[in-house]
Amino acid sequence: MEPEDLAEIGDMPGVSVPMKVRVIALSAAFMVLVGLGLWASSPLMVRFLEAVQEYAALTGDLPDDGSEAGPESSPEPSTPQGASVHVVMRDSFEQQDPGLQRRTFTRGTGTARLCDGCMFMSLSEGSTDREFSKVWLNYGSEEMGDPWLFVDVEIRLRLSDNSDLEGGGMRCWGLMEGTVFPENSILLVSQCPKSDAPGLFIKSREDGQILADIPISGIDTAEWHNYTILWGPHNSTVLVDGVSVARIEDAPSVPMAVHVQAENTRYVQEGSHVASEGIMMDYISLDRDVWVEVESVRVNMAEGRYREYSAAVLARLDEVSRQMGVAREKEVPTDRIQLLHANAEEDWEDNGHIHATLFSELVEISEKLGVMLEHADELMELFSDAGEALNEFAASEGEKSRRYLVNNAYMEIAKNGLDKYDHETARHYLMRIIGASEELSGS
Amino acid sequence: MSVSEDPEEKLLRLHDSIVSYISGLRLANLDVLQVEVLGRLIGCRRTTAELVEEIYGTPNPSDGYAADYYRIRRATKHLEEKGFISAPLFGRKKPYHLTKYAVSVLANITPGEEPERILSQPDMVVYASTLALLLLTVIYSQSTLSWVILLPGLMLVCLGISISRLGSTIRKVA
Repeated sequence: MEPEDLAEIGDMPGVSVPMKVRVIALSAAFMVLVGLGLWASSPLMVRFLEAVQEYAALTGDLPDDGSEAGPESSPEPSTPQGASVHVVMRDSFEQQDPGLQRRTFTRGTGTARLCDGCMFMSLSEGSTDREFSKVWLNYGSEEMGDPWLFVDVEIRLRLSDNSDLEGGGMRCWGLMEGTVFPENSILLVSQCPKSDAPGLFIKSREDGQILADIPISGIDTAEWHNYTILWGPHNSTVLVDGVSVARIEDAPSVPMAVHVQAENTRYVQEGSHVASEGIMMDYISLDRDVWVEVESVRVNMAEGRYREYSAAVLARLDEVSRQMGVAREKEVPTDRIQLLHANAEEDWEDNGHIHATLFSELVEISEKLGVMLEHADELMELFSDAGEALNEFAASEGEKSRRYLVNNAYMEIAKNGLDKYDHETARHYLMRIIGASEELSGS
Repeated sequence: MSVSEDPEEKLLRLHDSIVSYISGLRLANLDVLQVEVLGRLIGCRRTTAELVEEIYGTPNPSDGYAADYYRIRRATKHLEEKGFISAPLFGRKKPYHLTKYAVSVLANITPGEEPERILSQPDMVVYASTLALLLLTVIYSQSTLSWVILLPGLMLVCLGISISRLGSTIRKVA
């Protein structure tokens, strides 16, 4: 038992902190410091975790076929992710998957034809520096543009010659925006952009800015190889036969399509033709027939990324269904979003993937509709007031009066705004009608 | 010690062992009362009041109990501050017990041998490395240099070792 007058004894003079408390406090301070450090270095930590994830994917299921293997021994492109991928699109040039939108385009001496389960794309020796010759293979719809965002692309192909051999024009394959002057791309290019040095290069651009221009050595492009681009939201990795050959920091973040093309061009510092923003090219005379033989093209999405993507897609489809229900109750037109929703659902059911352009449009409209629904009650009231105002103009000045006609046009613009879920435009013109009505009453 | 040993030799050996014991105590910077408290806590737990009764035999209540209690309390606070004994942080009754650190120090009291430290030199190297790597990771967090990707890996390895060492240091004095 402690003495009853213990309180009178009091504590020892001075501060006495047990060692245990001091050690715990120092440990806590250390951990807080570490936590702050981790928070401050989060961009690098994210990069590190992604690198670990990629390494795990690469070492988890490496392809067992050699790079020397031809089409007979390896009919399918080897994938670094093995089974842990969701195949979004596959073209083996034998049977066409539902939803596959393969397009070819030729110009000058360019030809493209299916041959023994391959796409054979060639430019003939007759290509001269006076004429642009090109052959182009693309996946994506003409109406909707580029179908994919942050996918992995595998292309198995060979060229007529090694990239180190001069005079073969420019051949490239990978991901690119389907516009006249593409500003976003991740491509493997045989021939050197902005110079006449031959070779195989990895070239990437984002909004016209060059992200990567990396020479790749030791790849004989005349042999069959699997070229893979792992396009992620933060960075991209390029692999040849499952072996990483380049990593591109940053990454284009707009939808792109898969392209394979050959042209009688070379990129130069100053030339007669513009290839894209800031890049000039010259046509060249080919001293031999050159070709690209494509055995297969596959678009995958890594399983983890696919789960995130599909969760986002399904959540958005659900959200749109809910929005349409609310919109009907509030008498907001739903035709536009209904059509997009139906197309997206159909695309999802057919392909397990929604066309990137369609999806981004659905997201954009859904967001606009969300804002519109927040203001729906107020807008419906304004529509009602503006309708009454129009009736007043018609009654007092007639339906052919200038005031009635102008305000009626405003009403049409406001309805159009409602159709496009542009609540600001709708409100602006309805307020003008109501303002004009108040002026009329005042006078 | 054999039966036939010379009494002078016996005294000499006893003297040597006492000198060694006192040197050890000096190294640990303990006084006789603190050593007595440590001795009473070997293999058992005691509250301050129990220690007063055991060491001084002063009944409670009695004259001088408060003074003895104060002495013991001062000794326990001092031992606690040095990490030799520990009591629960919460609860009304707080029996003291010997820490692992105390057991280790007392077991290694021999002249010429450095007493064990709570924060050993290898531990300090690990903590310093962790903080240095953390600082580099923060500095290079926006860098695009390829080797920079190694920093978080090294830092996390050091952090893992640091956390493990922190855990054992806390257990040593808890």
